[in-house]
Amino acid sequence: MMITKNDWLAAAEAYMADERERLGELPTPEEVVAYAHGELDENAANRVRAALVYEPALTDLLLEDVPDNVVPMTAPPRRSRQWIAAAAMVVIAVTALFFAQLRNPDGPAQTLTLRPSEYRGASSYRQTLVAGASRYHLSAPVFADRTYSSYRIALVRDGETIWDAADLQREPDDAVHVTIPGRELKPGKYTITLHGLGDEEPELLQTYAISVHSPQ
Amino acid sequence: MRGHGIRRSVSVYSEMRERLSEWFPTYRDMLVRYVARNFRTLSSDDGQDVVQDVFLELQKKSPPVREGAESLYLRTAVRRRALNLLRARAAHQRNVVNMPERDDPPRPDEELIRRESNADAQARAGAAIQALPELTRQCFLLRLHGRSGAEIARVTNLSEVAVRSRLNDARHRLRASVGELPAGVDWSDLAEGNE
Repeated sequence: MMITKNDWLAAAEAYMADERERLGELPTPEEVVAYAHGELDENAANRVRAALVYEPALTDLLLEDVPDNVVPMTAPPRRSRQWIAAAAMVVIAVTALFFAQLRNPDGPAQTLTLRPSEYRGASSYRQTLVAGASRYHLSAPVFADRTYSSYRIALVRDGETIWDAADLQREPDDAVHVTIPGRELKPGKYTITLHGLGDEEPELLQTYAISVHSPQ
Repeated sequence: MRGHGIRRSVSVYSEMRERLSEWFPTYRDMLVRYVARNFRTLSSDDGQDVVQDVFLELQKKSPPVREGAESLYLRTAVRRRALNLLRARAAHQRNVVNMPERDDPPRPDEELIRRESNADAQARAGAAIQALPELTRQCFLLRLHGRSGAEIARVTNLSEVAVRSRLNDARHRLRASVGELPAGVDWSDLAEGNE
């Protein structure tokens, strides 16, 4: 008699349940991070690997689209051409930034990692920036386990979107980065929204509150 | 020398506490939603408690977490705590509530598996799975659950070439032991010549 897919799945589940029982304690976060970086000895790595395979609720940990600078244990072949191209792009970007800075008479750029405006214990969390910068480099950490094809960051003032940037990508540091021209951020209070874009309606992932103060 | 070491430990500890205080507002809500998405049997209060407990424990231990690995660390910590909560509840139900192990009607998918399967076939499949070498078995089980070669490589920390080799090995061994290839498993990414 032929063994159906369901027979295989039932047999696999029985085997995996036994293995979960045998493994006992789940691996600690420290062990999983070390495993992802290929730093565990063979026995410890085998134990973490087994937990990731036999405990389905853990399997996705290393598959979620948040690279965490993971270096696989068996390093893939170096792609020297890609590295050279990446290095060349960095040089071009730095040079372009340098000349853009020369052309721009305004103050230097400001950088800010955005934090959500709402969280337990604080009715409103508002970050501050100082007006007068040539541009503002903002980073919005993304923690949605769902992957979107792109992201949109919008600058809202008095309920009206005054500036936005779409087609943004989640970068390897698990954040979406955007540069807002300095002229858009005059002194006042703003809300910044982060949306995930895909086939469906844009999904609001996070809002951030910021205040822009006049320079002293 | 020793004093210097202690000073360094204190500095690492306080640096970590400072990073933790930044993580809470940044990650808290995101982690609560993460628990809700991945553990649908837990209530929203459970999700909030899980995340709160993770941060309380972090605050107590202030473990050194490498830069750039915060997300993986936190996701593992909340999944681990959520799983432990579910396991504890299941154990509680088994031990404290004196009821038959299975009184409620099986869910439709379980019913389907039961109807379409039989004990003998499962025993043959189980024996074949058990006879596979450990890594080959792990690659096969992931493939059986629909994982791609790249995904299996990430979970097992093997290269994709090594994964394909293990899957080929599984294919040979399973066919030899049960006389047929496992039904419904996609082998299309393996070279025919290697079979």
